[in-house]
Amino acid sequence: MQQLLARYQHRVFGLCFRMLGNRMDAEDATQETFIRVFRSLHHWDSSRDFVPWLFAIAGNRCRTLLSKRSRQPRSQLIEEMLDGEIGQEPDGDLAEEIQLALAELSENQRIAFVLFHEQQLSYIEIAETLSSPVGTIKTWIHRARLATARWLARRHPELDPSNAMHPV
Amino acid sequence: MQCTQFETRVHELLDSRQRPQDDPRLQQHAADCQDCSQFMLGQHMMLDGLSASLPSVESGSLQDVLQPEFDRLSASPVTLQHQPSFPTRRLTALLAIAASLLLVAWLLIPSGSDPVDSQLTLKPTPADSEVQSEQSQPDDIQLPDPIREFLAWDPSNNRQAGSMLLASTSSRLLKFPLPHAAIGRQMQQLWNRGAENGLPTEQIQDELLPLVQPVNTVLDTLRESFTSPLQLQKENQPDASSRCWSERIQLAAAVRLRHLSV
Repeated sequence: MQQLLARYQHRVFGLCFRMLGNRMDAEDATQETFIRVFRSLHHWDSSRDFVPWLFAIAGNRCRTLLSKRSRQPRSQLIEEMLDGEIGQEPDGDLAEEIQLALAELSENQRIAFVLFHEQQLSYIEIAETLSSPVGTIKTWIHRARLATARWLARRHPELDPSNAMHPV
Repeated sequence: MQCTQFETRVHELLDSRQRPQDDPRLQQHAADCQDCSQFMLGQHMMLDGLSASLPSVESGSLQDVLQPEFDRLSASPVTLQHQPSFPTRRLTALLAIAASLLLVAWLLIPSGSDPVDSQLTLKPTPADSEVQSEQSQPDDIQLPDPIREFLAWDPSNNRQAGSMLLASTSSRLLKFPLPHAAIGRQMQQLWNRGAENGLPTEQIQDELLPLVQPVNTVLDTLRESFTSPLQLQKENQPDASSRCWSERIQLAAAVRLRHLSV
C-alpha cells in the first residue's frame, strides 16, 4: 500500500488539483481517493488496468467535492478575480492562466483533457475511466482544446505573430 | 487549406502526441488566418505550460495522514477476498429470514404486472396435517425467484440485464413493509455506492455473494415445507410451539442458518 501511494500520489494529486483548482481541496480529494482505494482493493479486477480504476475513483471524489460547492465550480483564482483581488488583465503567470482556462471548461471536458494531455492516458483508458464511449471522449477533448486555446490566445494577443507591428 | 481542415489536422496531430507547430502546411495557413493562428498559439501555450505548471503534493504529508488506515488494514485478520462489506452474521441471518417472509408474502399476494421468468410449482403433501394452520395453505404454489435470478446472473453476460434485474428486485422489495423494504434499500444503496465509485456491476455482485447461501437455504426450506414437512418439524423440535406453517418454515430456516458459517 505504501508503494502504491508513493507511485501514484503525485498523479492523483495532479488530477485533483486540475479538477478542483486549489491545493487544499486537491489534498483532501487525494486522501479520500487513496482511502477508498485501500478499502476497495479487493474489489479491483486484476485483469484490468489499475490506473483507469484509480483515476475513476479520484474523478468521482472530485465530482463529489465539486457538487458540494454552492456555486458553479470555479477555481479560487477566478473567485478572487471576480472579487477584484486579482486584476482582470493577465499578469504573465502561465500557471495561473492555464488553471483559469481549465476552470472555464465543463467537468467532463476538464477531466478528459487533463487525463489525455497531462496524465498521458490513451483514449481507450480515458473511456474506461469515465465509463463513456471513445467518441464522446474525443468530442470532449476536442472542444476543450478549442475553448482553452481561444481563451489563452484572447488573454495574450500580444503573443500573436499576426498582431506584430510592421514597418511602413 | 480550409480552416476546417486546419482544425481537423491539428486535432489529428495532438491525438497522436505530435506538435502542430512543426507542420509546415499548418504554419502556412496560420500565417494567413487570424482565427487559426490564435488556435495554434493557444495550443502552444497550453501544452508547453501544462505539465510545468502543476504543483506537486508535499512528500510525506499523505503518508502521515494515511498511516492509521494502513495500520488498520494491515492488522485486520480477515482475508480481503470476497470480504462482505455488509456488517454481521446477525444482519445476514435477518436478511435471509426477511427474504423468506417476502416469499411467503408473495404466495399470498396476487401476482402483479412484473414478469416472472423462472417459477417453480410445488404441491404440498396432502396427508400432512402438521402444517395446517390459521393461514390457508395454497394447493399450488408458484415461487417467483427474483433474488436467486440476480445471484445466479453471470456478470460476463449481459451486464445491463443484471443491473436492470437489481433495480427491479430492489424496487419490488421497497413496496413491502419492513424488513423487506430494508433489504430493498440496502440493495439500492449498494448499487448507488457502486455507481458512485465507478465499480463495475460484477463487483457489486461480489458483495452480495455472502447472502447466496443463506438465501438459498431459506428457499430450500420453503420448498421442503411442502415435500418433507415432517422432517422439518423434527429439525424444528426445540421450537415446536410455532403456530402457523409460515412461521414454522421461518424457524426451520433459522435453525439451519445457525449451522452455516457466514
